[in-house]
Amino acid sequence: MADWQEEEEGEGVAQQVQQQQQEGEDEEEEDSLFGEEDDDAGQQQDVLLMRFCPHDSSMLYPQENKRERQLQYACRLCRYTEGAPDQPLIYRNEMKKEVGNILHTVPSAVSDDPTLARSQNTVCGNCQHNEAVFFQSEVAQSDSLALIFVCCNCDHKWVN
Amino acid sequence: MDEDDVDMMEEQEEEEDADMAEQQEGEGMGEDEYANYQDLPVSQEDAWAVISAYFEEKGLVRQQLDSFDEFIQNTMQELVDDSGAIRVSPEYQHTVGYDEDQYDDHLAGEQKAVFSIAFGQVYLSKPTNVEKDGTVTNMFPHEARLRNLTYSAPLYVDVSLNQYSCAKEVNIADPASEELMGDAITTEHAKKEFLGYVPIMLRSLFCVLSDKDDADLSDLGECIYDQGGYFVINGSEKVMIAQERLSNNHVYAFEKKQPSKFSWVIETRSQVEGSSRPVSTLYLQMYQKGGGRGSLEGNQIRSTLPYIRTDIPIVIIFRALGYVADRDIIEHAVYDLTDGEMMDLFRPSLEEAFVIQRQDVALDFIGRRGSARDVTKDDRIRYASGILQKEVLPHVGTEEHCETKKGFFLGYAVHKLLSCKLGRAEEDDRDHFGKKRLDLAGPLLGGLFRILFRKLTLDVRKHLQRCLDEGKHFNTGAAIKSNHITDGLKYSLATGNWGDRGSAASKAGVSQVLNRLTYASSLSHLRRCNTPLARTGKQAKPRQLHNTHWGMVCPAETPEGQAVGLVKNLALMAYITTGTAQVPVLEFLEEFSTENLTDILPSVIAEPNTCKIFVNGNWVGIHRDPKALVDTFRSLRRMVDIDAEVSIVRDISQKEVRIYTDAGRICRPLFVVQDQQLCIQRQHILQLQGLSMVEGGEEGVGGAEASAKRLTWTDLLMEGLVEYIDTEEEETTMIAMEPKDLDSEDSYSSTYTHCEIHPSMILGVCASIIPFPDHNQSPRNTYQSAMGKQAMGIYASNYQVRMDTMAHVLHYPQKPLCTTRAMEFLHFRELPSGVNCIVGIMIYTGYNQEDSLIMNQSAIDRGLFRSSYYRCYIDQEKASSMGSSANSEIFEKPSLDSTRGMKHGEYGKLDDDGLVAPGTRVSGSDILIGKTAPLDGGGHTGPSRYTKRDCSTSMKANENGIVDNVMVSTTKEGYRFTKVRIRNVRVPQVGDKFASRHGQKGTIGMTYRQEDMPFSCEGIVPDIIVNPHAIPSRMTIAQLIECILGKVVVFQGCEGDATPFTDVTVEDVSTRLHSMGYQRHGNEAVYQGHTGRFLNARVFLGPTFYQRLKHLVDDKVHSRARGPVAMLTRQPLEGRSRDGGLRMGEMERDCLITHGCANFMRDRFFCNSDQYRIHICERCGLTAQSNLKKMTYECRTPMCVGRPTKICQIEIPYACKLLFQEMMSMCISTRIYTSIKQQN
Repeated sequence: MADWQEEEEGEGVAQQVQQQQQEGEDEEEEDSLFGEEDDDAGQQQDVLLMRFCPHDSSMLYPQENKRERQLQYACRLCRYTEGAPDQPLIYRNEMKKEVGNILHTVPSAVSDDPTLARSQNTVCGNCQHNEAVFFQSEVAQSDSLALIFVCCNCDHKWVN
Repeated sequence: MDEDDVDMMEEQEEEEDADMAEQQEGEGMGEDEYANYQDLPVSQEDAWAVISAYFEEKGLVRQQLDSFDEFIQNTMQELVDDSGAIRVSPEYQHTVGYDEDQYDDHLAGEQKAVFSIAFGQVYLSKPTNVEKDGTVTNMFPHEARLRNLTYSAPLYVDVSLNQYSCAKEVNIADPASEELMGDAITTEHAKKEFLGYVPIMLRSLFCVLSDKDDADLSDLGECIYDQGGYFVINGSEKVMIAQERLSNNHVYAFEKKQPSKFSWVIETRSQVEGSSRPVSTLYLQMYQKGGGRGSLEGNQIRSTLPYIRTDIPIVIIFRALGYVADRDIIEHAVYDLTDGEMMDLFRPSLEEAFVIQRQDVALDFIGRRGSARDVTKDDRIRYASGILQKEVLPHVGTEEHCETKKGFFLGYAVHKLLSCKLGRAEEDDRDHFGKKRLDLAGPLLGGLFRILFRKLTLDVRKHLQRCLDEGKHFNTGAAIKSNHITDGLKYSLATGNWGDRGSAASKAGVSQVLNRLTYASSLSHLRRCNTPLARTGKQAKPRQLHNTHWGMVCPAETPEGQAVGLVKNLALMAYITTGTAQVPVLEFLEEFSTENLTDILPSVIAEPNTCKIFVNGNWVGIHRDPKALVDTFRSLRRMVDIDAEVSIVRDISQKEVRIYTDAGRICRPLFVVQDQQLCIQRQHILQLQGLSMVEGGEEGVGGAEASAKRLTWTDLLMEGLVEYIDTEEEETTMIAMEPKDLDSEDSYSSTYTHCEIHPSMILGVCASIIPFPDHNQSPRNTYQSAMGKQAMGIYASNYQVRMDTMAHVLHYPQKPLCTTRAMEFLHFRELPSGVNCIVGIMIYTGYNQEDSLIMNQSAIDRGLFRSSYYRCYIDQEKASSMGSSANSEIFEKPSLDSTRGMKHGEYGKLDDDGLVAPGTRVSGSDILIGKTAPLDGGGHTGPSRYTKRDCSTSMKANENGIVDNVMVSTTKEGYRFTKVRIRNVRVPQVGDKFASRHGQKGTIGMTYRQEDMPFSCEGIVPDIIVNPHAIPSRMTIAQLIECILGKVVVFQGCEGDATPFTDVTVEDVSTRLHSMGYQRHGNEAVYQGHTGRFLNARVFLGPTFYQRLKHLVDDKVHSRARGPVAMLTRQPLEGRSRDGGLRMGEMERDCLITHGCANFMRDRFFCNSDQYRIHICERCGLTAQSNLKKMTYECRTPMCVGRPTKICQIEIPYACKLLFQEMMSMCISTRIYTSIKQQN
């Protein structure tokens, strides 16, 4: 037991240190920096996924292919490896959540909820329907007061 | 009254007539108007027809009755069925006389004989009583109350005794061995063996009163207004208080307060429904990032398993359950593989368990940390999988092959933890009322019955084993020890200690003596619930009113002090579910294309339209169209195809549908709303009122011929016009406050699903008596809710034939002028507890300061607030310790010459039968019941003239009255038994306590005759004068409105409607008063009583309903100069009943010390307490012998003997002397030396 724990620790500490450094450097520029990252987020989201070994369905870990000087993903149980074509990012830590980013966690069926407030004078950007339910984001980290609207007709979601 | 006034009054009456006509329009209109009337939408006023129908059918204690009926009709049989067969195999003994051949056969044979006893159908008879002489009679509750019997019915069970033969190696203790037994060789059936007596709840299905009408009831000596819902145990009425607990099988997520090792914790209290096994709680903890060396990475999830010493990483548990691959585990916990954020959060857990990659390794990992040590790997694996199967999440299943379901459930818990950590879900609210369950008589008695029945079966097994071993015939009747159940149930109900006698796990105070002070207090007691929580805990949250209490728990009625908020009272229309089978619900789900958990791919869960289906907290499957499912379910429930008490919750944000069928959920009825319209129509209201138009035309008018079909509450339920909504389902509904909110222009919502029946139904029994509670400061309603229970009234219509230990009955009680609509159902008009008094709020002579009040002595003399006080003295002839009944105690008039130890009281009032005669005036410590016990004739003290010892009962020393009634009967054991009731009239006097219905209590400070009271120009003299200072800071505006409305109503000759949350305003009321020629705010010009001079100030004067509270000076006055002392310490006794002294405590002592009055101290603490004098030897400091008569003093201590004595007398407290002696008994000598203070 002892070895496997220590192994993990080493990595953990390293990561932590890196993060702290980052935070320190970026403190002043934070806003602009995150703005940029948010734009990227949409594109990167499907790429930054966990990969699994096709043989034993185990998680693949990022690894350095020393010979070809390339990033690759390797299975720790078998010898399976796969390349990471043009995706150098292996980890992203979002410090602040924007309401816009959590829209995908809102189930579309909320428009059925009779207890939510409704507005008759909004226009859905998708179908021009004028009725929508709206509520404040429940996500604790986002202290924004922005309202999330969900169209009653097409379940299109937007932040206002 | 002058002429103008008379005219005015007449005008008023005319107007009033017009009003009345208007009100009756509904009934008295022509036909065309009638048609219009029928088209009117249902209004708030019409809701009262529905409420009447509800209470007519349900009464006020339906939760108690239904819960008990459920126990009698289903639970008891289920428990007997679940107990399983008792299987015993004879173990032949080496005793003299055993059958040698049989024994040899036994040794030689491959087979063994197995005897099995199975319990079948149970039968419950009507309540019966068996007298000493063996006669069996039907018992009626009133007889049980009078004769101190238990109102209980005998329970019988069918028993079958089978003999099998099976292979020797079969383990017969294993229930699964049944199949190996083959057919029975012999079968015996014992029909209806007696199992014990079960106490019966009054007015439940098995109670003799359940189908009686009012005439029969009063013939049986019952109160016609009594609602039942309690038990009669040994003659005293016992209520079972609902016990609140947290619901089981629910996944709770809590954020940990930092600093802590964990950031979030998941708790699941898992228990199989109806199982006796203790709750097995599963914890999942998410670790914090640790600081320092050797610390953990953070965010990894570990779980606490039962019997395992350390936390186990969650992924290892998954692997132990058979989910080995990372991908499998992630699919069960994260669901959505594209959810990068959640995947990242789960990554540390996966990495932590990287080294354990196989199921057997994982099981071994868990097994190593269990309690069994130093065993083989195989054993450890078996042990671990046993724990996973039996101990972890037992509600999901304890059979084999439940791993799939457990994996899904565990994954669900992990998912919840991850969502919470990511901020997508919020922390669970521990105080949410939807997660609470109330255990009533049914579940509580069920739990007790299970324990007792198991004890009984153990005894039967023991008996059977002994019979078989000794080769005796087995007799079922002799084997069943019926007193286990009889005594066990009786003990718990009588003492309130729930659980086995003497076991530590019992709860106290579950059953209480029904409060019979006033009718409302009894009703409120029957609807009470308790939270078994340490009263000392300073946590405020569980005591606070929660949003989800709306409509379920009274917001006003709770005690003050330590139990505030922990003891609650159900709102008027709240109902507690009794629990229904979940099988029909599961069948419904299957029919409506729910996909079973075992048949789905985990990836399906993540799809946007799918929804998880939970039944009683257990995840059963998923559904792809939850909206259709929920709609179908609701419509079926509204047709009562699915039981009306089953609830369905669609949690859209968590993509879950939760269905509950369990017992103890709190729910209440609401109007169903569809398309912004109430489903209930005007015609239904008319049918409810018996004014239906079903057969067309005329009969509706006037309601003379009430149509054949008068709608009942059940009809409303069946037609889906109303439905029960429980606390959790309520969260998913949109409820309109009143019908007119539904379809108006400025309606708040366009998606109403339900409508309140009436907002005043949120109040409980006691708060419903308060007029205009919505105009009072809230604590005042709470105070009145507590005080209403102490008001005198008529507590039951049969009080004349009841023999309660103590009872107050108010003479000439009146129904209040200002009533609430809810009072109709509380029978407050029929059994009221107060009088409408003319109350003036003014300053007059100063004898009403500091919450005291001035009362009109002339009114008192006319009978105002007079009451009777009844007290019962009980005694019975007991068998003496000698045994034979010839030696028992007897009721007789003890004679001075043969009876030893006679009391000081007056024996002369006893008749020859040893009892006082009704009508005798008794006082002081007069003897009421003469009783003697024979002295044991041993005669070791030599011949004595005494043959008997006195054990008579005397009156309480400071009470008096007239013997009202004497009852003589026999106990269950056949001994003579008597109850003597004393009556005493209590006239209001200075010091008696009174209160209005607004938490305004006060004691009489002075009584003045009418001549000395102020009077108005009409000659109105107040009965009560309260001080104006009682009003501003307490803000009891409702009392003022009650007064004004009362005044209006007195002149109009009708009742005033003081129901809360209606459209009546103060402005309306005062306008009505003004129109009758009175000052609009109820003020009057008043003349001074003593002088007849006009008072400068106007006085607020009018009728207000006042209550006389049970705290009377006569029961409290106490003084003592000299009196009895305690035997041991010779200090004065404590308490009024013992004529004790008033304690001079530490704080009083501190005052005297600081004041410096030393002599007074000595007087208080010494001379008036236990002054004592002893003699001491000045040489050795020990007590000396003294004979004051002979004037001889000596010290017999060896060192002093023979030497000149030097004795001195000192005064010490007797307690001090006692201490010295006790110390001496422990070989510590205390020596006292005196010195004479030099005076210089």
